[in-house]
Amino acid sequence: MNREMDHRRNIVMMLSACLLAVSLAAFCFTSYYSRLQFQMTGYLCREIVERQPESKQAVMEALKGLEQYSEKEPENMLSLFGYRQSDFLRLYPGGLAFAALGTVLFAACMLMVIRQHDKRFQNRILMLTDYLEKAANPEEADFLLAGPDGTGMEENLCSCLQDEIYKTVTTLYQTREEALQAKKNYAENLANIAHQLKTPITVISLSAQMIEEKAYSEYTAGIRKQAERLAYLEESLLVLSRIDAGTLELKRNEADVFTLLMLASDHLQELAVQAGVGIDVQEMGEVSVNVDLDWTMEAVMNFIKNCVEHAPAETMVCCSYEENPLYVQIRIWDEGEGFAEEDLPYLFERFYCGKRGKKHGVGIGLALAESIVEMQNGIISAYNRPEGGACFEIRFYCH
Amino acid sequence: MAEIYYIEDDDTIADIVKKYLEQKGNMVLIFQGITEAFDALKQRVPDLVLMDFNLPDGRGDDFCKMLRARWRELPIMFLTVRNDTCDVISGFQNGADDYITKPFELEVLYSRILALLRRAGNTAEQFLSCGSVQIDRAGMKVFENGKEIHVSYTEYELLLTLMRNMGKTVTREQLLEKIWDCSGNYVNDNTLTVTMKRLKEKLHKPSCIKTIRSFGYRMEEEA
Repeated sequence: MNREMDHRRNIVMMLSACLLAVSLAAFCFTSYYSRLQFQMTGYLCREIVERQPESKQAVMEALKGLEQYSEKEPENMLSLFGYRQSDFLRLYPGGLAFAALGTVLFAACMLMVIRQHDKRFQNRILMLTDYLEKAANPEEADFLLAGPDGTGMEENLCSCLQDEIYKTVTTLYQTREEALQAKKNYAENLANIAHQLKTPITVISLSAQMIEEKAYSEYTAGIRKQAERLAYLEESLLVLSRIDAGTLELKRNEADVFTLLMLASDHLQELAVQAGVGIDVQEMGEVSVNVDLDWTMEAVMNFIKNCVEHAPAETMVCCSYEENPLYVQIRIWDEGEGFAEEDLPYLFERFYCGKRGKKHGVGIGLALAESIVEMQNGIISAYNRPEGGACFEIRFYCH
Repeated sequence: MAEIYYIEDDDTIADIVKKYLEQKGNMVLIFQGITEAFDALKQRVPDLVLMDFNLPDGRGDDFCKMLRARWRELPIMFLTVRNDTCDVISGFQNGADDYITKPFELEVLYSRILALLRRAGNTAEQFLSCGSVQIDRAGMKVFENGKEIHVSYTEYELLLTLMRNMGKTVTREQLLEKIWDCSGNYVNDNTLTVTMKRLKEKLHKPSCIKTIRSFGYRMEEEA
């Protein structure tokens, strides 16, 4: 409202300034022309009287008659002599120059006003563009909510546009906040359910163990094994859902690849010993990669585990890594019979149990590992080595 | 016989664990919540405290911090459904000695309890031993099943640090600081991992050196 008042006052002030200028100019011109007319008529009279002194009386009478002069004279005598109105223009070169100067000045003023207006308009559009660009970046929440800076801007069409943009951006922002909150709630619910589920699984497992304390039975062993599987399934499903919901937070840091592989192999030592398979991590020097150490280790563990499960006893599962300017590559291979050709395209699909998958496999491990690798700018591929055995190849690109 | 306080709000789990540990000749007292347990601790300090992470009247890690501030040497062990890396780390950082996630094996629980109880008083002696590995601190020598094994200085320091903290998890950061930074050498994860690998190979991959997920390493005697 205030801005509108200012605007009106400006217009009124400008109008009055114009009026003043025009009336001043009118006064100046009137006095100028009356002087001109006075001199010109004087000159004509003197010429006539000098040439024909007897006409003095007649001239004086004619001058008196000027008071009865009206614009509706039937015909100007000068036209009869062959003069035109324009022939008198060159008698006043000052007036012409003045007119020209005035026109140029006026044009310059107009141009400046238009330029300034244009510039202000451009600035405004630039500001709105800047605002919209920042709106795409969620980090700028405070900036967004403050709205585009409209101070010192006049009220015009741009303001309507600005208001509408602000409204839209705020709505979008709110929607985004709501979506994020919903995601967070979803993840929290999942975690809650997962924790709740674990309590009964623990009770089942512990009860079976207590029964075994008294008398071992294959049935209790079955219960324990299934409870274990249930716990594994529940955990994997929780992680998968967190990945889907985008709530799995990866803390990426520079991690040493050898450490990553050694830790993964350490954690699988027990499984490897049971299977009679050795895990060999080759020392290839220091190579670092920007990943979340824990989750990437989890992913690598799934690959190594897959190899260990398919490797014949008394063989080795090997892990190796190398670095080049484009990417860091990790390879994990075994000396088993390799992947079945028809399984290869579907290896990393969720719940896909291949032809050579283990009996109780559920097809989660490799899918999970793939997701974790891909979330960190990595690519995973699997193939059969020419000399036999399966090989997983992970590449982390350095952008 | 050890006296153990167990803070757990699930009756069934508490009952089973209590029965199992009592069968092994320990005395177990169950508490439903933090306040109850704290009151009892003020009366009498047990040999070991087992606790759940989610408790009706507060979080386990906060309570653990409180206990650690008051009783520096009290062995504390978490027994919880939370297995997120951040929860495990938070537990250790707040002073826990061990962290077991549910579901767990009762036997594993018991062997960890024994390991924790055993560590007291094992730090100042000349000969330290764990499983097949022995250390002679006076001669700076390492033996495996009585046979001397030649190890480098850093490997020896690494092994000694773990053995002095037997039953307790030592983080990778702690190891890096303790073994290398003191002597002024710049080291990183890779060096630690390589040293650990060499040490394990020289000792023929003893089962008593355990890798603790997302945390570090621990020497642990087999039950």
